[in-house]
Order: sequence, then structure tokens, then C-alpha cells
Amino acid sequence: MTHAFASLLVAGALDTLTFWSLSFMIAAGLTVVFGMLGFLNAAHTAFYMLAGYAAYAIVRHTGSFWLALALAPVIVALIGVAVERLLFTRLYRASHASQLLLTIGLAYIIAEGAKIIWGDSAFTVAPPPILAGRFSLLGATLPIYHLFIISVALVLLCVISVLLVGTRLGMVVRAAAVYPEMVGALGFKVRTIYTLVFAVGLFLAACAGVVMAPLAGVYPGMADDALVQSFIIVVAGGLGSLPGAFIVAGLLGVVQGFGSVFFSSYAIFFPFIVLGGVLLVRPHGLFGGRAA
Amino acid sequence: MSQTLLARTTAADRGPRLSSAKRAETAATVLLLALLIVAPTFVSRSTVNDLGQAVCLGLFAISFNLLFKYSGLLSFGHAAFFGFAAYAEALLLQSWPGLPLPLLVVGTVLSTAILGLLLGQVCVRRSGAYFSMTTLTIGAFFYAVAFKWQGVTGGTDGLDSFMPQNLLLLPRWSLDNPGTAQTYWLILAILIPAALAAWALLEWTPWGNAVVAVRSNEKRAAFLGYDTHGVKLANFVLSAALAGVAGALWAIDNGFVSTDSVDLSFSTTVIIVALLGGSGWFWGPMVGAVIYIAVSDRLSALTPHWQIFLGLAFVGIVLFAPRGLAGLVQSIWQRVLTRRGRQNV
Repeated sequence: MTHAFASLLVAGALDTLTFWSLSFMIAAGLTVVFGMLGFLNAAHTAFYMLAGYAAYAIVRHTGSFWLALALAPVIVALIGVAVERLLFTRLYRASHASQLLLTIGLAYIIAEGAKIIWGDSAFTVAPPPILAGRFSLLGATLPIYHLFIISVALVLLCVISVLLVGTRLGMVVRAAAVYPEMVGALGFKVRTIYTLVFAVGLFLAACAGVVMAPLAGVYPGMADDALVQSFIIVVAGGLGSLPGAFIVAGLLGVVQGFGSVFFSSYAIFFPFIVLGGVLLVRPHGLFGGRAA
Repeated sequence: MSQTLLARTTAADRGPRLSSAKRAETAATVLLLALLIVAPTFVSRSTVNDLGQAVCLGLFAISFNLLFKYSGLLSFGHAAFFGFAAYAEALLLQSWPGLPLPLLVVGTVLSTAILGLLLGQVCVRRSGAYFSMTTLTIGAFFYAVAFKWQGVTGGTDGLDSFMPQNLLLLPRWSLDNPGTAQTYWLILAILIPAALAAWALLEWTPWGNAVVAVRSNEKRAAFLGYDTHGVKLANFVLSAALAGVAGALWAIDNGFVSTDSVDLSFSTTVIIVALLGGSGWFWGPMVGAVIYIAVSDRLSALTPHWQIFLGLAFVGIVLFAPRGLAGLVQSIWQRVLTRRGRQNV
């Protein structure tokens, strides 16, 4: 085994984990909100994009990436909550078609609004100096920033899992996902729980938007790119299934991470191949047993 | 009053009586098609050019609505078929420039229908959100192909300088000047029969009832002996074929094909076009297309960010006018009818 090949493998593995982290952070909220509320939010990745632009604006005015990471997701989640309360609640009992149409319209409005404020051009956001360097591992020199992205995703996942599994609030949320009427009858405000879940989903996607900004820049089409990818993850994983989304995001990470090392010019097709493969074996997605 | 009575008796004598709604709908259809046919004699050349775009977009929106209205399936990747047909036609013409126009259109539409048959097997298996998301990814896939396969599709540059030279029955006519009334009428000569055939099939035959039965209660239709999967698949193929007609004619009208005709925003544009006109009426999307082209032309001259109005239109239609313009007109018409009915009593 040559040394060069080992370093390629290491680079591929790091890309895989980075992609996995980012795409799962984006898709998790989409699939959870669908699973709990039966609501399909096509504007989900528009909020992710909004977080990227917010991070850009904060970094430009204050120079601090850390401030952007702390503020932008909160701002975006709050905007999301306002939109959910004002618009989405009217459609929780409507058809998926109406939900998709309304949220696609919202995605248009957010995308054009971002263009009005920030223009058509792409922006780059510099990572904080401490993360800007590279480190070497098995002969490969790799960007430290990738490690940062992976750790952000890990920390967020751990915090949310602990909250869900280990706290009373988490227990109520899990119960509300399965028996909303019963949880409501016990005196909990199911509506508030829904809003909370919605906000956490957007918060995750917004965190992805912020950490994505130094990696791939902020540009007008980023919402659409992420939307297609998230839909692939959510459909192949099974609508509403968080473990499914996690596994498919990992599969996409592998083909993207290693595929783009070895066959970079066809990378754009990999997600479709994964989706086709999964649906051939399991037409309802990996964990999509129930009718959706 | 006596006139309406007379009309009723004569209609009854001719055979099974049509409901007044069906009669009004047919009258509106005839009026709309007549207006489309005579329009070029009244308007300027640039408007004729816009009209050509509008009727192709309108047929495309009708093909989308075939799935949405009659099968309850919301496709988010319908531009895949439109774009496929447009590219297929351009490539056919580049290989055989002398191909007669009818043969060209038939070949393009057949290949699009076959594509619809293949993709439909996957898409139609599930309805609701799954269908929408699957079609969206298929649309994204076709965009990726058109974008990446530069050797065949020309990538972002697209394909141009193809024009059918052999019009067979019309040796004196030429398509070399897009935007003329000649091109427009030639397009209508193919477009209207295709749309009318689909209309007749779905509105006036038992087949249409079967499609609607499967939509309204799939289980019950299955118990009645319908092959519900087959019915949905057949409607999907018909929709793909009609989108193919629209794409083929659009390519002729434009003389140019680019990734704009397969991208995702085109797939969502066609949804808003259909809903604007009113998805509840077969021809509603055609009305929507004419309005859309007229309005978007003016808005885009006004501001580069006119697409924000598209978003507002989506939100507004879903919240306030789910049946579109045709629905609004219909409800006003019904109010007039009931008022007249009351006066008669």
C-alpha cells in the first residue's frame, strides 16, 4: 500500500464525516417536523441559507465568527417560530400539496429578499484564525476547519439526545410525537411543544448554515442545493425517520467524500444514485414503514 | 325565461342533457380557444411572440394539472419531461435536419412518453409527499444531466440553430422567423388538438371517471376492480407526453434550448401558472399562462427582484384563493345564476 493512497483515504474519510455532519444537521429538522407534525416544509433550507447570510453580515460588521455562530442560529430560529405561528399553523391539517405550495412560496420570498439585501454575488466568510490552519495525519495535510464542523455536529447531537432522553421535557416531547391527544389531555400544551420542535429543527439547520459559510461560501442558490439533498436524505431514509436520515446522510457522505476523491467530475450524480439504490431495495425508504 | 325553457327542451330532445355547469364550461373552452386562435390579428408582433411562449407554457401547465387535478399528485419535477422533449427535439433535428415536422413531434413525444412510463413506475408507487419529493429529485437529476453532459446538451450554453425545415403539407411556410403569426398558428395547429384530446379523454369518457375515482378513494376503486396503480401510471404517462408536446413546440417557437427549460425553478413556475389560472378547470392553467407571461413581463421590466411576487402569489393563492382565477370566476358566475334563479321564483 503506497503512502499516497493512505493519505487519499484519510482525506476521503474526513470529507465523509464533514459532509455527514452538515447534511444531517440540515435534514434532521425537516424529517422530525414531518414525523411529528405531518408538515412538509420546503422553506426549511431557505432558513439554512438565511443563517449563512446572517453569519456573513455579523462577521462583516463585528469581525467575530464566534459571535455569528452564537447569534445567527438563534435569530433564524426566532424568525422561524414567528413564521410557524403566523402561517404554518393554519396548514397543519391541510394537504401536503398546500403545505408544499405555501412553503415553496415562502422559500421564493426569502431567496429574493436575500438577493435584495445582499445582491446576487457569492460571499466568502473567513474562518476564525485558530481554525484556519491545517494539520497532518498519515501523510495528508487536512484543514482543521473540517474537524471543527464535525465537533459542532457531535456536540449538538449529544446535547439534543441528552435533552430528549434524559429530561422530563424530552420525555414529554417524545410522548407528544406518538400520542399528541393523550399528552394534551394530561395538560401539556402540545402546540407549544410543536413550536419548540420546529425551532430546534431550524436551529440545527441554521447552525449548519453558519459553519458552512467559511467552507463553501454564501450564495443565492445554496437553499436549492441543500433542499434537493435534504429531500433525497429524507425520502431515502423514510419520511419522518430520524435514524433513517442519519444513515442516509452517512451513505451520501461516503459517496461524496470518497467519490469526489476518485471520480470528482461525476460527484453531482452520486446523491441520485444513492436514492435510486435505496428505493430499489426498500421502496418506502430505509425506515419508512408507515404510510406517509 | 321562456327562452331558457325552450333551450332545455331542445337539448333534452337531442339526447342526454348536459348539466348547466358542463355547458358553461364547454362554452368557456370554445371561447378561450377561439380567442387564442384569432389573437395574432389584433396584437403587435412582440405580443405574438409572447403569446407563443404563453400557449406552450399553458400546455405544459395543463400537463402538470392533469396529474394534480385528476390524480391528486403534485409533481415538483415536471420540467424534466418538458426539458427532455425540448432537448430530444433539438438533438433529433441536429442529426436529421430534413425530418418532417409531424414525424419530429411524434418522435419527440413518444420518447417523452416512454420516459414517463419508466419514471412513473417509481413515482406513482406512492402519493402525497413522497410523490412530490421523488419528482423533485428526478427533476434535479435531469437538470444535473443537462448541466454536466456538455458534449450532448451544450451545458449552460444550451443548443441552438436547429429549426425544422420540412413542414411537409405547408411547403411555403417557414419557421425561420420565430415570433411570427405563422409560427404561432403552426404551433396551435399541433397544440390545440393535443390538448383537446386530453380534455375529451378526461372530461367526457369513462376513463376520466376512472382516474377521478382512483383519486377520490383508491381503496374503493380497487375493490371495484380497477387496477389503481395502472390508472395512475397511465395518467402519469399521458401527462408526460403532453409535457413533451409542450416542450417540443416551445423549442420550435424559441429556436433555442438551455438548462432553463429543465431547472427546478421552471418546475415550480409551472405550478404557480397552473394554480393562478385555477387547477379546478382543465383549461385554467392555459389562462394562468397567458396572465403569467403578461404580468411577469411587466414586473421584470419594473424590478429585477420580480420573483418575490411569485412567492407572494404562492402564499396568497394557498391562503386566500385555492381555486385560482377560474375558481373565482366560477363562484361569481354561480352567485349570478342563483340570484337570477331567485328572481324567477
